[in-house]
Amino acid sequence: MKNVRLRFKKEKECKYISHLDLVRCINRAVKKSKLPIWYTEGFNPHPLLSFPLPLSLGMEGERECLDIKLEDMAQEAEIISKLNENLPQGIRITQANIPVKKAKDIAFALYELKITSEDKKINAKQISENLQTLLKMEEIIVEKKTKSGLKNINISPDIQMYVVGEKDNYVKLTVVLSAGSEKNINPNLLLKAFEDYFGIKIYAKIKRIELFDKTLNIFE
Amino acid sequence: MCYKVDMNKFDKILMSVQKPGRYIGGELNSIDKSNKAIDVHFALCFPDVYEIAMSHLGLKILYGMLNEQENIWCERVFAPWPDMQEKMEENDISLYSLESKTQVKDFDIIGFTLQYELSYTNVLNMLKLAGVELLAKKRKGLKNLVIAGGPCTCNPEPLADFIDVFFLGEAENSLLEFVELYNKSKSKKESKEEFLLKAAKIQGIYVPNFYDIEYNDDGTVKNIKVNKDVPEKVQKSIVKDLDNSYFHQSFPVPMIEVVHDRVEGEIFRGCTRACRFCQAGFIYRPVREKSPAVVDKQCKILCENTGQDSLSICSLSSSDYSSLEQLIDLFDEWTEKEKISVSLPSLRINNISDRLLNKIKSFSRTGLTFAPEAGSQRLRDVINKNVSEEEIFSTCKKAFASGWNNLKLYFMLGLPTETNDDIKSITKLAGKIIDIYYDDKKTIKRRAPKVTISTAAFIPKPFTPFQWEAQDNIEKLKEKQQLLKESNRCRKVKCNYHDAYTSFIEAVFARGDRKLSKVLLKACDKGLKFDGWREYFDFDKWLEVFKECEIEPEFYACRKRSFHEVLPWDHLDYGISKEFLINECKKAYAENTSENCKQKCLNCGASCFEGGICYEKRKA
Repeated sequence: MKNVRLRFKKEKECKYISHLDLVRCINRAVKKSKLPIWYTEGFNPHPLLSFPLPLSLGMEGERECLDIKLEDMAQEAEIISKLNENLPQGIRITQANIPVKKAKDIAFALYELKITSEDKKINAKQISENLQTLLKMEEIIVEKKTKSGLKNINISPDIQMYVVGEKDNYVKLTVVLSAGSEKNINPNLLLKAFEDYFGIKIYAKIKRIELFDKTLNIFE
Repeated sequence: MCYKVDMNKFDKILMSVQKPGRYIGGELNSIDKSNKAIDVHFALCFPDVYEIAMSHLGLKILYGMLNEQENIWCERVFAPWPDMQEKMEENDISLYSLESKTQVKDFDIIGFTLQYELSYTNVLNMLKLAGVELLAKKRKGLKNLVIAGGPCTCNPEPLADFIDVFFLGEAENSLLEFVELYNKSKSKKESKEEFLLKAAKIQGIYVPNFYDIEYNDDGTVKNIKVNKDVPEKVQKSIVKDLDNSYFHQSFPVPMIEVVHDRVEGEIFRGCTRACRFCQAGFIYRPVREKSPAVVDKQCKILCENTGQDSLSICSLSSSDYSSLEQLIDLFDEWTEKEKISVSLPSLRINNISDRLLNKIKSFSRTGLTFAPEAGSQRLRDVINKNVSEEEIFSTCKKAFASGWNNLKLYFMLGLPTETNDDIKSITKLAGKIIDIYYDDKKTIKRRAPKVTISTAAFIPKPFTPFQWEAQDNIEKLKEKQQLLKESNRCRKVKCNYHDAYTSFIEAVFARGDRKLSKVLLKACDKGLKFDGWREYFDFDKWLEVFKECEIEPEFYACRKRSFHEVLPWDHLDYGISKEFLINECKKAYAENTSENCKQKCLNCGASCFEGGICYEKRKA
């Protein structure tokens, strides 16, 4: 038995399917690929897939992570090509390696946001200025849905680093946020905070670029 | 995505609606011919939402068949859910195809499948959303030719003003021939009428514009006359040899959850039983079976190409398939190994062998569903169901002994000659079935059984012996539902009933004529759509529409016709003779049953197609 960590892109049309839909696509591709997948024992045998950090519907992912168990050895190139042959174009496996760290070691994620405003009177410069103001604040309070209901939390300590870039008609925010099983901050919370503080409705295309452990080394 | 609209806008819209996955395409196995030279661009439209459309077998067959032709590109178009439609209208986005996101109004041929009458408003709504002219006579030239097929074409008259061509019967042969002819006419720059006159010569093609309807003062049809050199009666098209007819090997695999995410293996068409309420059994005659080896091979290839892990056989009455046990043996050889679950729906309650029951049990443990349709033997004989109480009990007993606790039974309310006693017999029957469970010493120790009774209102349909009957009006139906509910004394029996209001509207259009086209137009104007969905069906608005059009819906649904009346579908030939239907109707009222095709030929007329069971039997 061999544990394999796959990295994949979720983009184009596939950014609009949910995590469960993604699981279904991967399960089918795994089956069609005829790779030596390890199946669970019992009444309903299925492959053992594990997704350490699901991606929200609407977000693209550049290096998403999926752990799978194989029965036998298989070459990385073969795994990648056989799976990609059987996946929709919007899901692309890019790597298949032995896992280095454990799934629970994920602590941060790097996101890239392209932010525009619904309000035509607000330009990129203003968004950029407001954003810089917000990100510098010691306390950024926003309402988050938790298991015990809606809670007001401060997300400022969860912002590890950021770069705000003003473009012609949008603002590019590159930000590292807490991520993982212990604490996970969805970038949409940041957008919500912006809207709450400035009363300006904004819209962003979000892409998750990379995952990191707690020492900010790339999660492999 | 190459849609010619502001991509940022589109992205925002998709993020603001339910299940954006419905509108994006990009599925594995979807066909992209955008880099190829194609002659005919065909929009295959299913007038319902993605989850329903992607579960439909007919769509899969036609998509594969058309796309196999190098010069034809067939793309899928489904009805956007109302929330998406609203956003599309707000943002000037017209209806587009899933594969290339091309606007429907840029397609050559726009083809709809008419699966059920309540989807008619969706057909019009989709055309409106596409920016395509609704009235056929106002669409000039060959571009945007609107065609339709499916079971409802046996009486498509309410849609006659909107559709250029109807395909009667099965489209595997007629459609390809039609599209090839279209291509020739297009390159020769022929007029629409020149093309349609040629097309009308193809078996199964019905061009409504070539037929004029005259009405009597009382609103019934006086006569149906041709106004061009075309057949007075249009005969449906059938595929004689199912083994060698086209069947798809692949189909786009849905990424989101759909109603039936599985491979469907068609085993036969038509039905031998001649249940008197059943339209499908008659309009798909003569019965033609596919060989088990062919079904098995087709299913295997599909499972390999789609990676779906669920397989189902498809027919009107699967336990009547002469090679069912053989087919199951063939499936056994690979489905378990490939981890594919098999389901066997549409089983008759009176011919399930022990072996079959065991097989079903080994495949899956979902509930068992049967359709006795009527509670009393008298009424079952009237409708020619040919199922005795003994047989019902015997099968239920076997099912319980095999491990099932839950059974679902389908019945109808409002069948011809029905009395209150017949209705009370339904719950009496269910109660006796519960008793059977407890009579068996083995089952009594298990968890409590549950019998669910599901009733629907009887809807008289064309091409059945009951096509002259009146549907009970809504008050009467509600009274009967109430009577059923009150007659249920057993806590382990649950009674569900299908909404009477939707059944009434369905009945209006099922036997409707062309006078209903203005009703559909107004319904579309008023925004009526998704009538088959509880959350969108608006009965009050429908009544408003009928009133404003000065049409009495009861004229179509609740009126008993005489055998002499000219029916709006009399110019359409499905091989079933009127004399046969009249005779069956009389037998029904005399409470006499009729044999099935395998036992005795009743001369229904389907032998005119010289194929299937009647021809084989005649030869014997």
